[in-house]
Amino acid sequence: MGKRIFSILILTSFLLVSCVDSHRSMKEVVFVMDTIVTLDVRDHANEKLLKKMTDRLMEIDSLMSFSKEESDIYQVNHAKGESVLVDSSTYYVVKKAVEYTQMSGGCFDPSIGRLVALWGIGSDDEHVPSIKEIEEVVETIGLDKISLSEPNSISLMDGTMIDVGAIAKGFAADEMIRIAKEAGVESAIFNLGGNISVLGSKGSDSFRIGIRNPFSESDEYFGIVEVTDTSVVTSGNYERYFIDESGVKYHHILDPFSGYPADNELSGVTVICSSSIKADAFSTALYVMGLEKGLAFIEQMDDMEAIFVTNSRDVYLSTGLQTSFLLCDDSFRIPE
Amino acid sequence: MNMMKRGDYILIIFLLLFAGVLFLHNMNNIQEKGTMVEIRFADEDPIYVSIDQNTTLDLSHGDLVNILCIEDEKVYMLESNCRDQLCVRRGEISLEGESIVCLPHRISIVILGTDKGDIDALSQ
Repeated sequence: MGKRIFSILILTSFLLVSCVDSHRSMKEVVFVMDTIVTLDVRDHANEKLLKKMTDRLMEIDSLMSFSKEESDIYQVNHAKGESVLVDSSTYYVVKKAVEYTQMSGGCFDPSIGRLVALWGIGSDDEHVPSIKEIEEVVETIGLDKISLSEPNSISLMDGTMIDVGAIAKGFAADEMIRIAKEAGVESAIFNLGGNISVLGSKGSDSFRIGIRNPFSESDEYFGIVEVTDTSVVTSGNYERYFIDESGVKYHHILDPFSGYPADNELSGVTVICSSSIKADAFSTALYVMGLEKGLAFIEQMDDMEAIFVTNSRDVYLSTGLQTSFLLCDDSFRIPE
Repeated sequence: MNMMKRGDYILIIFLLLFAGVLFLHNMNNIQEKGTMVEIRFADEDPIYVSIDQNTTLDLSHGDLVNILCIEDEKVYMLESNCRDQLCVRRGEISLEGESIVCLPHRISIVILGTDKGDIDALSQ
C-alpha cells in the first residue's frame, strides 16, 4: 500500500512538473529576410525550439535571397543558362512558384526578377524605367524560360532572373508551423512582416487577425478575421512604393504582362489559406488580376478565401468569409 | 499492509518540494512582463524601458539617427534620418503588440505587457 501511495505521489509530482512546463510560452523578435519576424509560441516553448526556428529563418534567407551572392537564387540567376544544383528547399519553392504561375495564368510569376531589379522599388535605386527598358525586360518573363529537373536542378534562359521574394516568407511561415508542430506545440502565432500564420487557437477562442487599412499611414485595421490553423497574407499598394517628381505613385506589385505596377481599382488583397506559401503567391496574383477576375478566380478555389479592398473603400469577400469577417471601420463598406 | 518507512516520507517531501520549486520557476516564465517597451537594434540583445516613464531615448548609431520618445504611456519616433521615414510617420503606439519599425536602420520597438489589444496580429 505504502509503495502504491509512494508511486502515485511520484507520478503526480512529475505530471505537475511536465504539465506546467508544457504551458511555457515564449516570444522572440528577429530581423531576417529584410523584415521583422515575431515568433510567439504559446505552449511547449523553450530556448532550443526558438533557436531552431530562427536558424531555419536565417537558412531560408541565405538560400533564397535575390541579392546575396551566396544564395541559390543568385547562383541560378547568374549561371548564364547553365543548370544549377540547389538545396531541396529552394527547389520546392521554385517548383511551387511555377505551379502557382500556371494556376494564376501568369499573374504571379517568379521570372520577373529582372523587372523587380529594374524598378528597384524599396532600394536606393528606385526609378521609373524607360518604355524601351521595360519592353526588353518583359521579354525575359515567362514559364518557358525556367526549366526544372529532378532532383533539385534549375536552369534559366540566359537573361532571365527569378525572384522568389514574394513567396519565400510564406514558405518560411509554413516551416515555422511545421517545426512548432513537431515539437508538440498546440498554439502559436508567427508574424513575418505582416504575413501571419497561426497554429491552433487561443484556448477556446480563435486568433483575431486585423486586416490593415490600406489608406492609413499607421497600423490601423478596417476589419478582423477570426481564424485557427491557417495563414493570413495581405498584399497592398501601400507596402513599398515611391512617388516620382510629377506626383505619380509607383508601388511594388508589378504586373508581369505590362511591366508596370499593377494599376487597377484595388488597394489591397488578403488571402486566407492553410498553406502560407500559397496565400503569399495568390495575394499577389489576385491583386494583379484585379477585382472582377480575382473574385471569380477565388470562388473556384476550395482551399482559399480572400478579401479585396478597392480604392473607393469597398470591401468584397469570398463566400466562405461572409460570416467570419468583422468590419470595424465604418468608412469602409461591404456592397450588397 | 506495509507501512511506509521514514525514508519514504523524506523522499516524498523532497519530491513535492522539488515539484513546487519547478512549478514556481515555470509560473514566472508564464507570467507576462509589466507594460514595457522593448527596443531592439539589429541582432543585439533588446533593452527594456517602462512605458510609464516619460523619457527621450537617443538610439543613434554612427550616422544613423533615431530619437524615440516615451510620453504619457505613448511611444513615438520623434526623429530619424532614414530614407523612408515610415517610423516617424507611424505616429504613436500604446497597446501591447503594437510596433514601430525602422527597417533601414534595423530598429524595432515593440510594446509588451498586459494591456491586450483587440487583435493578435495585423496582416499587412
